[in-house]
Amino acid sequence: MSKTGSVTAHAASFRDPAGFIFSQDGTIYRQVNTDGRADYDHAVSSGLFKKLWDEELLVVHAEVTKTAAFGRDTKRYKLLKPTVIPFISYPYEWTFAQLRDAALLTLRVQKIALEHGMILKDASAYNVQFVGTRPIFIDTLSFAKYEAGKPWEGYKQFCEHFIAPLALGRYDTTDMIQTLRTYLDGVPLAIACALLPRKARFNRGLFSHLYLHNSAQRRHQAGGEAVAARTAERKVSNLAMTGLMASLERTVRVLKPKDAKTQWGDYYTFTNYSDAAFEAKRKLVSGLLTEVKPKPQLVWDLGANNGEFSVLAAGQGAYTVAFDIDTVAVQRAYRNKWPDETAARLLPLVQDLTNPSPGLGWAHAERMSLLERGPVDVVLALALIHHLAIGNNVPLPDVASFLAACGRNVIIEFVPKGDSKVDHLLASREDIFDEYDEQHFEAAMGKHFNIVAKKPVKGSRRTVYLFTER
Amino acid sequence: MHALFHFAYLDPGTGSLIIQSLIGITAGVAVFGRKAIRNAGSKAKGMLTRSKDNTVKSE
Repeated sequence: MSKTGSVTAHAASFRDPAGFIFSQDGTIYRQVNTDGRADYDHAVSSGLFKKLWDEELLVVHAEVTKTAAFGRDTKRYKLLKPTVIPFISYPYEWTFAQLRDAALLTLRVQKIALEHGMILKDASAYNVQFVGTRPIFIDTLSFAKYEAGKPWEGYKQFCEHFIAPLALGRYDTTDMIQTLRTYLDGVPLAIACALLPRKARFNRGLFSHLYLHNSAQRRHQAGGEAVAARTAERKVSNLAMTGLMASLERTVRVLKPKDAKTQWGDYYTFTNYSDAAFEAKRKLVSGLLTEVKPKPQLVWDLGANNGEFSVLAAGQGAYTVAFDIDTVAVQRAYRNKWPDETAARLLPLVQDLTNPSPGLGWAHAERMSLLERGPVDVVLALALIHHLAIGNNVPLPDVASFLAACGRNVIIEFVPKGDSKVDHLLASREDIFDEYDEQHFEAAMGKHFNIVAKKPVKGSRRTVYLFTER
Repeated sequence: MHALFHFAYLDPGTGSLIIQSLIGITAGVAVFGRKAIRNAGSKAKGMLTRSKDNTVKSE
């Protein structure tokens, strides 16, 4: 975090001289600096903000009029209070479909900005967040006055943040989207071109925006001042700008994920529950959620698969983040036609709990780790413990510590030995898990939590617990 | 500093700035070409329909 005037800017908000975000007393604000004054005023007077708000494409903000509490800052032009995003997620936690929707949103915002005499000065995937299953543009200060003939400076970033990972997801596996965790500022064009199969060259959009683009970059990067001077004379006509936007949109639209069979993609089709037992578990979990006091506002469903149980929490009014390692299952949760209220409160994300998102970027602080984004009111951990404790050898006390860091209340299903899913995990390996039983599980959880409820799942050997923090 | 690098905090890539004009013009011509063909097609269709109507009326 950097001290800017009398407030401290968020650790991820140091690049743009036009302004920054910061938090005070738990509320997020955005400061517009005098450097960003002309562009901000133009976005207001041209009607750009209103148009984007009307179409629900940009996060709404209010101008803060009483600024005495924020101290003096000679650089400050305005203070904005944006609508709160319930949970911050990152592109490397999204599925192919989410990244694709974020790309289309960025292009739609760019198109509207051009119609209002403005242009996006960058095209970072981090400018997009999800509220439930709806993408929304969050960087109010990304807009600059468009000078006819100037090229789009965000073009390369758009290709590296969106087109390259989507192309890798299309031709390799959708898991390639998670490479954005390594390539935080987008997959470099040269890397994407090296990884893609030859047939990707026959996709017209990819040929232009990745291969040709990469060649041009290679040819001109060592050109120095002479090339830069020649580049400055180049103009991008209105026709070319319109064509570029149309071409980018078409390229994104034709990129669709391959149908992939994954380990957990059909989990609920091949569950070891009978229909009656499954329904009983649903009622049980729903009942336990209502027992949590005060009423939960934020829930994490760990190992949520396609969101089958996450919707119970969302249906009760809690903003629910449904995490799973399986990109196909998460994509199903994202694409499912949930009722509107559920869709607004359900955010499916990809997360490998054995290697959760760490703090990333400059000073490990630009992108928050998973735990930094908690703790939440309730953690759901259904049919998960055996994957962590047996599938990944995580000792039960360590699982309990992690859950305690995630949330204040935990609804967790214990899956004992003898259950067909546990037997399956042990089928091809020696059983070295002497302490994997209910007694040791309760002892491990007991170090952090009190048992509020313990109920057997009818028609199975499993037990569902509600724990609350000590 | 060249006037081209307007926003300063993002490296737009020299090659990217050069190539986008070329890609944009090619795509732009294709987009407007398709539109022009569609418009010409619908105009021709409209004229044919009108002349057919006139023929029927005159009969």
